[in-house]
Amino acid sequence: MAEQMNVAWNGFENVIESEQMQPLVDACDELSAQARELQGEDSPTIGDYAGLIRIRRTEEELYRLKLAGDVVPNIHQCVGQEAVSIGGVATLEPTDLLTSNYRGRGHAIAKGAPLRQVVAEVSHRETGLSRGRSGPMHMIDPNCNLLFESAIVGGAAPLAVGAALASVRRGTGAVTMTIFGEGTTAQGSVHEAINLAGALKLPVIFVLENNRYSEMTPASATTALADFSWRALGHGVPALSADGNSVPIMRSATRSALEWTRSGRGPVLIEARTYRLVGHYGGDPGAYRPPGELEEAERLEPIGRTGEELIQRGASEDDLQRARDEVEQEVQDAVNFALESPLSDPAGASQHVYKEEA
Amino acid sequence: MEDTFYWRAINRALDEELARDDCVLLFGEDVALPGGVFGVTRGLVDRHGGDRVFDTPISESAFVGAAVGAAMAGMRPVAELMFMDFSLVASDQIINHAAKVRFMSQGGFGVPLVIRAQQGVSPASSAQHSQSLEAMFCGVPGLKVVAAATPTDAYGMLKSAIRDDDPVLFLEHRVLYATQGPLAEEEFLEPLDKARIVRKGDDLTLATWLHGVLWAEEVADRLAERDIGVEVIDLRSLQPIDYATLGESIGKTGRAAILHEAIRTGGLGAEIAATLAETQADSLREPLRRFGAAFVPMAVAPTLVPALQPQVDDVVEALSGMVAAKS
Repeated sequence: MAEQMNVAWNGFENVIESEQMQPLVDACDELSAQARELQGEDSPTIGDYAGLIRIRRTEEELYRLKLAGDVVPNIHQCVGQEAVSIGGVATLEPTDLLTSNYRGRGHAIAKGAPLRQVVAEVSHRETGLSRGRSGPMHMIDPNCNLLFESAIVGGAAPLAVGAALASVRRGTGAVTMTIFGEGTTAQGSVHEAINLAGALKLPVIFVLENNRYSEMTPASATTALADFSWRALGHGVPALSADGNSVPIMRSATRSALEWTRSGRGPVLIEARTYRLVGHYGGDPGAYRPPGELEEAERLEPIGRTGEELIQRGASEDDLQRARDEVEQEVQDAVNFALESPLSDPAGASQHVYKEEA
Repeated sequence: MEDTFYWRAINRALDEELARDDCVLLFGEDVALPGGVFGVTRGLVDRHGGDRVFDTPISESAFVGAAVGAAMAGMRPVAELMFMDFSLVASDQIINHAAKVRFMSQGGFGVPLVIRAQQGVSPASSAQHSQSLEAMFCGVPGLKVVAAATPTDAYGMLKSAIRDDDPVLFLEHRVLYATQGPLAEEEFLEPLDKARIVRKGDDLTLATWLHGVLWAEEVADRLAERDIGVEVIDLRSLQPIDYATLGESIGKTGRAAILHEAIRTGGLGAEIAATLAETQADSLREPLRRFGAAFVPMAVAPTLVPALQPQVDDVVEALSGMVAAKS
């Protein structure tokens, strides 16, 4: 103990070179190296392309319905961020668990929530995931182990720690992923969750979806930290950053993290670097964006990039068109299903507050 | 039946439920190795192992939230908040998550969770370690709130709470930990929605809970000397409230008062009084009375505490006047 206490003015250089820091540095290196190796074997598929478009077109259609009247309330779109869902969430096993946030329809769709029920939930229908009670900010679906999407910023991160604890207790081998934005990392609940998962060495993947804006405030204005992935390091939890607009890169990072955490080595944080191409909510004019930024981001957005890469790898324009057409049918079917479904029935307004006797 | 300490009744309930069901977990600050800051959980980690009974960081938001997530994923966690005052740190997880999940998933997920917390004033507890905060949580649909005043209720209701499929806020009182009462040796459960009639009386109904039960018994003793019969009702369940038992009593006595340790303003007594005024107007022969703490943060100096807490003398005089007014 005396030895531990005998430290005076230990500079940061001493810290990063210290023996105690080395395992964490090694862990980050190992995770990144493994991700790079996996990425070498990976390339986008037509299925990835269709997945990205499924989310994009659903968000666009919901927004169209919002503008058209009172069918759909205001929504927080994930346009531009779809590769986080397709590379990240869709890489999970069906038995793995997910918690997320109010910009989470893409995450839900990638986890396997049926499109019809997603659109029906957003448009206040009895056929929705939660019979229209929860709306666009809360996709919840026990059938695909989507536990909760919280509209309290940072609220769903602690839930993931507990879900992972349950998986360990039950010996299911499942991993829990939780997704939050970079702005959310200013919340105590996220830090507490990362710290607790680290202390208990639980199989949790924290996905920090960095879309560059904390609602309508530039992320850089919300912290003195230069790199959001460092948020985890102070808790002794390894992190890696990934291009969140590339499906193969995001998928490789996720697979690397999955291998790490599933084998009992503790939680991992993945920073997925992406960009929100639309406002924080419908009607946000985006006046806070510097000139030229959006145009540059459009060039880097995931759907165009994935399509180009597929063409380079031998797919034809017809292949891409066919994928787009199929997804379009699916999305229109979901919209039609929702709009033809009955609105949430006031007769059942008070149900499911407490467990009801069967 | 032998007398048992209140704390030991809680310990026994936890011990039995941990033994009965593998899904039951117990965690919180200092609950395992140290056995709890008041010793309530002593010995449990030795009997059930560190995987199921463990200490957490001082991180109420994380460990209460983790308890919610674990409950959703098949466990039956018991999370201990060392002081009820700390529930405010975890209130987002309790109110926005635990209480809402069943409704927001329309029954897709349940949250079979118990949050244990002790509250109230004891010597030197100060403004941040003394609050009775039940009213904040009783107005939250999706939560059940119970408060046990005796070893029998602490044991039987905690076991029921652990077996319940909804989140239960289980309130204890640290002054009561050192009190004793009878506790049957055989296993039993107490309901989470029924009041308990502590003693019968014909002239006035006095509803209370937790430490208030001890005060109310003293009040009833003193009024008995004046030939006034007080029916003391320990509500035990604060959400839901057993208005049937209250109504039946008031139908007999025609007078009602509520005594609680919480601050009178905005206390649960206000809600109960309003409901009784609406539903028992035909029975009530006198205006309802409420007794609670002053609208001041709790002071720590021993000379100040009695000036802020409800006092038995005051309650005795007020109730005596209520009964005299009629005759």
